[in-house]
Amino acid sequence: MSEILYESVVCPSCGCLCDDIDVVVEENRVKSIRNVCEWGISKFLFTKKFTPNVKRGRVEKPMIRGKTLTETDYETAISRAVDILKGSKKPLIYGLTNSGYNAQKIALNIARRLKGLFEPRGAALLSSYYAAMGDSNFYVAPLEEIRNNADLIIYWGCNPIHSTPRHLARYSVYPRGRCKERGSQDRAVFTVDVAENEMGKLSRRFLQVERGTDSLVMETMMKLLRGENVEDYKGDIATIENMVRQMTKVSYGAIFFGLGLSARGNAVKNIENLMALVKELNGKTRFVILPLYDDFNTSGVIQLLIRELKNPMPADFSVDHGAKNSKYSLLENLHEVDAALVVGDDPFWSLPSEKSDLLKEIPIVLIDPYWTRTTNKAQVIFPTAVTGIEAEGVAYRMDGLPLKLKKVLESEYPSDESILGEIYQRLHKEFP
Amino acid sequence: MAKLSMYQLYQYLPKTDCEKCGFSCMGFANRLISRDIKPEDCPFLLEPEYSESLTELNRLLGPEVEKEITGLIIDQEKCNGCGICVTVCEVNMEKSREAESGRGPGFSDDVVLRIDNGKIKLVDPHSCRRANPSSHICRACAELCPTKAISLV
Repeated sequence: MSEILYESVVCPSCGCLCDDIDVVVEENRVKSIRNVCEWGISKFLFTKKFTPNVKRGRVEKPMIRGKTLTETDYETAISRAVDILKGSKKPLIYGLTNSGYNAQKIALNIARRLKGLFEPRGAALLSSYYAAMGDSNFYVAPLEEIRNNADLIIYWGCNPIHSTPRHLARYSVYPRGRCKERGSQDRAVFTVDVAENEMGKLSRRFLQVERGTDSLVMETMMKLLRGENVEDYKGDIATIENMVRQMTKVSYGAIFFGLGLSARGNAVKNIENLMALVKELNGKTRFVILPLYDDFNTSGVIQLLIRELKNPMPADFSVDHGAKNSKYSLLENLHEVDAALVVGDDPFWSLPSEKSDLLKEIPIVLIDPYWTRTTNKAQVIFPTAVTGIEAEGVAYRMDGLPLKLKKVLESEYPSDESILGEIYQRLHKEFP
Repeated sequence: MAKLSMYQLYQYLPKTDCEKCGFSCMGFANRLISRDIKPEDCPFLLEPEYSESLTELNRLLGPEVEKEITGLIIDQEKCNGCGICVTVCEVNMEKSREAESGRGPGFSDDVVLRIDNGKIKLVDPHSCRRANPSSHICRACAELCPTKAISLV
């Protein structure tokens, strides 16, 4: 069988959504890939993240849990899933950051019909960011503009080498832009993190902060910008002063923040302070702020919430059509939930144990291509095609640019969009 | 692989400076680092009393590492395919307009470095600046590699 070359495929691994991947496929298997990072190739070869030699176990048939897990067909599994969801008073629809935009839209409609909770993964950090962006009148920049213009890049609470490996080379520090013709020589990089990592060696300034004191550092920076006294700060004030001095001198700066800011539950306060700092900096020069996502379509689910509900917060449809929720995360209401539909995520791995313990007591319907910790607890499991490799879809890049994901491999499994669509149709028939 | 020093290898040599290999022992260590000669080229090391030293030297130098004409040693285990070396390479920039702006080089572009199957690969060592002895020594890819997957001999 001859080789097929797919050029400029979009990589469905992280929020960068690199659109320059060349894939050679032979006999419905990936033969070679160019321009893809180690995480990307793990995704294309269905292996563990950053370990392309270790295969991930795929769920092969739909499964239902009686006393043990038993294989079944899709029709029976969908009937069981619909029974669980319609018998629930307040179901939770969770995950969705590794699904296409259309699948996310159907999941939102399911939550609306069942009057349930709709919570994307990692919502606390991102909802607070988008809410603050909505309240402010900050300038929003695409990544290409940052590449063309930025002369200062700050990474706060994230390590792009591990979370978004090609971000440094494609969009921020090293590429040559229209106004930055010498690439990294025309830019400075600052990193703020709790422990020194690879970024510390690449950065001009590395500020090590104690865990949980990010907001205090931001306040100190704001005080320095206003010319106030900072004698009460006990940390590395010399580096902070130096950083602030350089931050005010640049013509265009960009701050990228990551999940490090949500540590110890301080996400909302950290984001509030960071936005206040950016506001203060925008009084002196131009600064933009963007989150670094490590799931490829986290931006898409927040765009969906803003488009459908005019509100980036997780939706609670049990009261007032979901639009008036003002909580950044609904997981504190997890004890009220009596069933869960989890799409493309592993909450027993990603959530803290006090929250995942509550999920153990309720029936879970899981839509995921791989065996995870959640498959061990779920009542119904649907295997799916991997979006962006075995199924088409639309994903939003971290700056909000929609990109079309191609299908490069044929698959025997249906896409998560078609399974969610079938569940929605059945619910629509039974709850007209 | 940690960067080797001349003195680290010298301690495993016979230190006789017999010059049967053509060099003093320190000179031999220097050429071992640049992979111009092999430990087996020293006649003393082939004798049974130096067998442990020979084993240790071969371990330190690594059996899989071969000296390319550019002097780049790429450790595939450490590389995470971030593509910084592809973007900062001056020759890549001349040969591929995509590489200049951070995109990966096109499928048919004849570049020096390329990310292939998630790891860095030296595609065309003859075009590398380091392959031409008259041009200045370029170290961009090795100096900016965040995982230290590229080292220079």
